[in-house]
Parts: sequence; C-alpha cells; structure tokens
Amino acid sequence: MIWVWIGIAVVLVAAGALVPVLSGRNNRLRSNDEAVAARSRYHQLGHYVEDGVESLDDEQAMTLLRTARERYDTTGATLARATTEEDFLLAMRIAEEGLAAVADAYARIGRTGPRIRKQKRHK
Amino acid sequence: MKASTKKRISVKLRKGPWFGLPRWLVVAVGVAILLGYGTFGRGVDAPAPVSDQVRTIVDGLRTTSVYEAPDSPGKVDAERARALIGDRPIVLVLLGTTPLPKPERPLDQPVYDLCDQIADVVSTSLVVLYATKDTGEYSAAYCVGPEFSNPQNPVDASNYDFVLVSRAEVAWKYRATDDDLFPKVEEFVFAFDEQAAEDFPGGVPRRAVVVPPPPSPDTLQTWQIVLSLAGILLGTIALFVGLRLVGQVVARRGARAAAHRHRGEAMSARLNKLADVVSHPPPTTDADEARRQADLAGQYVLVLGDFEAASSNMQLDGVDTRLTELEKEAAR
Repeated sequence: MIWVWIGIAVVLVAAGALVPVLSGRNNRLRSNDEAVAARSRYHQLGHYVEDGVESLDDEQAMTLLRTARERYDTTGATLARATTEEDFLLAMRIAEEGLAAVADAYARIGRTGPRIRKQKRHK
Repeated sequence: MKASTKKRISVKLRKGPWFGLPRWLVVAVGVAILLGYGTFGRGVDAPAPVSDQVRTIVDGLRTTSVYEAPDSPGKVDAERARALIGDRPIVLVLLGTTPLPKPERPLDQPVYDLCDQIADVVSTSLVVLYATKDTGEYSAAYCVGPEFSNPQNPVDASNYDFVLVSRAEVAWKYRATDDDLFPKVEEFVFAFDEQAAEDFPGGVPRRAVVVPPPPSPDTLQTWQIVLSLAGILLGTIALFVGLRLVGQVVARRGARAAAHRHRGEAMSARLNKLADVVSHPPPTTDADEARRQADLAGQYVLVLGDFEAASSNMQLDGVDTRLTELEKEAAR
C-alpha cells in the first residue's frame, strides 16, 4: 500500500513539474483565430482561381492571375503543414498576396475584384 | 477534464503573482501542505510509550508470575508467592527500597500510576504491586488489566478491583505484619479464587503469555526519522526541480525546431513565387535579356537545391541571402 502512495506522490510531483512547462509545447495556438482567418483567406482566393486561369486579352492581367494561382497553391501547402500561430499568419500573408494579385488583375479588366482588408493580427 | 477547462486553469495559473510568487508555485505549496497534513497531521493510534522501569518489570514477568527487584526489602516471600499464584491470571511485582517520586498533585498516586502502566502491558491479568512510597512506606497497589474481561472470558471487572481487595483485607488484617506481607498476597489470591469460582464455573482462565511491549524510538532513532523526513523532502524538491529542468530543455528544443520549420516554410513560399517568375519569363527578342532570364532560372535551380539540402540555421542563412539577391534580380 505504501508503494501505491509513493507512486501517486511521484506522479503528482512529475505532473506538477512537467505539465506547466510542456502544456504550451503541443498547444502553441493560444486561440484558433489565426487558423480560421488563414483558411478564410485561402477559400476566398480559391473562389477566384480554383477553376483555372481564364484566357484574357490583357497579358498583364493573365500574369497576375497566374501569380494568384501560384499563391493559392502555396497557401494550401503551407496550411497543410501549419501547427503554430506563426505558420497560420504566414499562410494568411501568402493568401493575401494572391488576393492582391487578383484585385490588380480584375481592376485592369474592369471587374469588381476582392476587397483586401488587413486583419488585426496577433503579435 | 475538458480542454477548455484545462486551458482556463493554465491561463489562471500563468497570471500575475500571489504574495510575490508565481501562482503555480503558491498552488503547489498549498497542495503540498494539504498532503503533508493529511499524511502526518492525523493522530496515530500507536501504543503509549513504555518506560524503562515498566519494560524491566515486564521482561521479568515473561516466565514467572512474580517479579522481584534486586533491592527488594524481602517483606514478601517471592518463592512462596510464585508457588501460590501458579498460573492464575495474577502477577506480583515487588519493587525495591528506592522510593517512588513524589506526587506532582495532591491526589496523584505514583504507585497506582505505575501499577496501571504494568497492567496495560500484562493486560489480561490482575496486578499486585509493592513499592516504597515517597513517605518510605512499603505498600501495595492493586489494579486490573484493561483486557481482564474480554470476549473469551467476559466478567464484571469491578468485582476484581476494590471488592476483591476489601474481602481480602478482612482476612489479612490479623495475619500480616510490617515485616511479613506475604499473608496479604495469600489472602488476595484466596479472594480471587472465591470470586473466580462464581464467575467462571467452567474453569478459571490461565495467565496469558506476556508479550514484550514494542520498542519505542530512542533519541538516535528520532534523529534518524527527522533526517529521513528531511531527505524525503529534499529528494522531492530535487526531483521536482530536475524534472522541471528536463521539461524546459525539451520545451526549448521543441520551440527551436518549430522556429526552424517555420523559417523553412517561409522560404519555401518565396521560392514558389520565384519559380512562377522564372518559369514564365516575358517573351523577348533581346539576346541579353534572354541570357539574363536563363541565368536567373539557373541560379534559381541552384538555390532550390541548396535549400532542400539545408538542415541548419547557418545553411538557411546562406540560402536566404542568395534568395534575396535573386528576388531583386527577378524584380528588375
């Protein structure tokens, strides 16, 4: 019986020592805001480029849409591996670059493109 | 526990200090005090410590019913008493001429206190104790062991206390003298036989084997206990600090790995952007521009190869510098 109490005491001491240190390690996302915002931007960009770049007369607009498509793919790859706040912020920044390219392309051809709003970011 | 509850507790513990100390430390000390109180603060049902005098007397009673101190005045014939008592549940203790201590309070009776202490050890027997009082008188105390009446031999123990002594006293009054107190013992035994015959028609119980009292810790053992407790405390603190340091090292290593991986992700995103530029060069008829575009594509492939081979921060620094130069070149 005494060994049970000793075992419980050791587990409590170990938990008291390790939990405060390691609890933040696998749970780096203090909130889910960055992940939600990054995925939102990703899907918004996908709405413009997912079906492929249409053929346009304006060469510059075509280049911008192609860049936007590349930013979309890169955002998807980054999101797939993101585990930290910094990773999600990076993915959101890449998606915003793509949206900016779409906005520029649409402005050239006279369409209403995405409105880029800078989100309030942590850090 | 729910993840949200865990998170709330973790956030609360990380908030501002209490009493100038981190909250988690105050909580840990509180839990330790509660556990310590729960473990050591309770009363212990250990037997009362047995004095050296009682221990000596009881050791002398392990094989016989009479203990006679070396300096006994000889007013009771120990051999006759031993033969008389036989294996009845009675023990006779004959102490010496050294007087017992003076009572601290007027109603205290050291001889009865000592008698009770002996009775606690030989708990199923009656005790007759002769000792020299502080007044110099060599007199007796009679007491009944707390287990004299027990589930195997239930009896009214009060019949063996004052009642028995009173009955014997009537008989010994004209037999005992100041120098020969044996008749007192004899009459007490006879009175016991008379009472026992009434109470135990199936046979009088025999004297139980005297079990030596458990040893009580001496000063050395007390210090050993104190030192071992201090060792347990220090060992626990050392274990806590050690585990915490290990945890911090592991956490720091994890944070470094995460930062390294994040940096790789950021550079990978930049390389992807550059790949789009070098793989779709603007059409040109200028040979120099075509050469520049080809060089840019070649440099890109080399940087990409270095990036994929980079495993340390220093290697990533080199790739970062070259990538920045390429980005500037591509933007021209």
